[in-house]
Amino acid sequence: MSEYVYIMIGSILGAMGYALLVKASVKSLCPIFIVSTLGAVVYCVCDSLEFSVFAAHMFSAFAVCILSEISARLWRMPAVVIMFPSLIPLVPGRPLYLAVSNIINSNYSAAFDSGETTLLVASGIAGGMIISMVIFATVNTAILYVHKKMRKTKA
Amino acid sequence: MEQTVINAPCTGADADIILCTALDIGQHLLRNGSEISRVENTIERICTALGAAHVEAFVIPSLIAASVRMNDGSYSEQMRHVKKGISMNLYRIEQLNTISRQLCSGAITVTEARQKIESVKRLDPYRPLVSHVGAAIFVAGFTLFFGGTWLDAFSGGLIAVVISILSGFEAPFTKGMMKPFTLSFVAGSLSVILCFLGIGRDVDAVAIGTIMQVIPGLSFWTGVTDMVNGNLISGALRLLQALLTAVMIALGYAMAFLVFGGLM
Repeated sequence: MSEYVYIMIGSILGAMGYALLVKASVKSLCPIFIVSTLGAVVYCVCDSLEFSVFAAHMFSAFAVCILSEISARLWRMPAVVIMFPSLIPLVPGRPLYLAVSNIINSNYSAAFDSGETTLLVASGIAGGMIISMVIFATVNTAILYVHKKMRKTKA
Repeated sequence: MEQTVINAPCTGADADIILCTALDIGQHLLRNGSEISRVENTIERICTALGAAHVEAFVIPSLIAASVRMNDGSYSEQMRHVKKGISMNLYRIEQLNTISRQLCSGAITVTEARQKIESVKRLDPYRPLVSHVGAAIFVAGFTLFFGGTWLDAFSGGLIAVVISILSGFEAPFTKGMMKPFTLSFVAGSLSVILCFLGIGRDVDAVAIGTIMQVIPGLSFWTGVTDMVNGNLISGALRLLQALLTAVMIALGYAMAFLVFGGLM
């Protein structure tokens, strides 16, 4: 349980710190905080349910992207402003570092495993992003279509 | 040379002025880390809203080429070479997006939009010190996230401030792919040295925290977004950039551990 508390604190601090580093506006800090917290919650739930590394990152990235798009419309700002800092805690820094460290220590089999995890995590994040984009584009098109139909009916 | 082109007043026919304004916004969006699809979309929307009959925009991470044909038959074709690297600034993206929306809705004129673009070029939401503090919080958070102690988080934060200051410098060793290598080498070396001095305890936790600051998350995400939106060339270029940056980071840390490994 304490492990998840550290993950939550770390990912929220990480996302908020990154937002300041890349000069996000003060207005955007509130949605970034909410989205990164919920993203970390999804990751912790997936991890506690013993999902694979790929699935855990995919679901978290999916949640972050969908929530970023929704918050972007609520706060009237581009979705990337919220999405980039909120996705940062999912980036595979640890396996990349372990791969390098194992290569230095001539532990090639462990280095290969870490490299594989890096690629799996990166693919998981990409997968989550792609699924959310497809869903959001479909919903957007449907809403626009309904709006057009309603306007025509009124006219 | 590039600055002269950007600051040159837009004179001539309507088509030239409209395209020049759209390209100014597009160029600054690209420089501040926006996705390619947003840049293309912005240029096309602005030109269409200002009365263009036909617009074409082709954007890759270092180049914008666009042409516009007005209803009266006048025509303009312009190109921008984005020589400087991307420096992420979400506030400027937000502001440029607002200018684009206002221009499209007719709330501001082209002249007003050009004045606003000029002011946005130097606009930051807060002082550089806040960004350095943000970097420290960011790396300290990740050091904790990856199993470090509060002492490790403190040393990670110190290294983050150094990296944040260094990344703002324009020097031969911070150009192109040399930048991630140099920053990773400095971060890796400082991680080992601070732990040797007793300011940190776990070199691995500190190094993993600092690696998050230099990792190419931005290139990777924008690459994926561009690929999904059908911009295969831009997406492939960004993903290649992310891959090469990751290799340079790995090399930088490897070099630091080889040089200072005896202290570990």
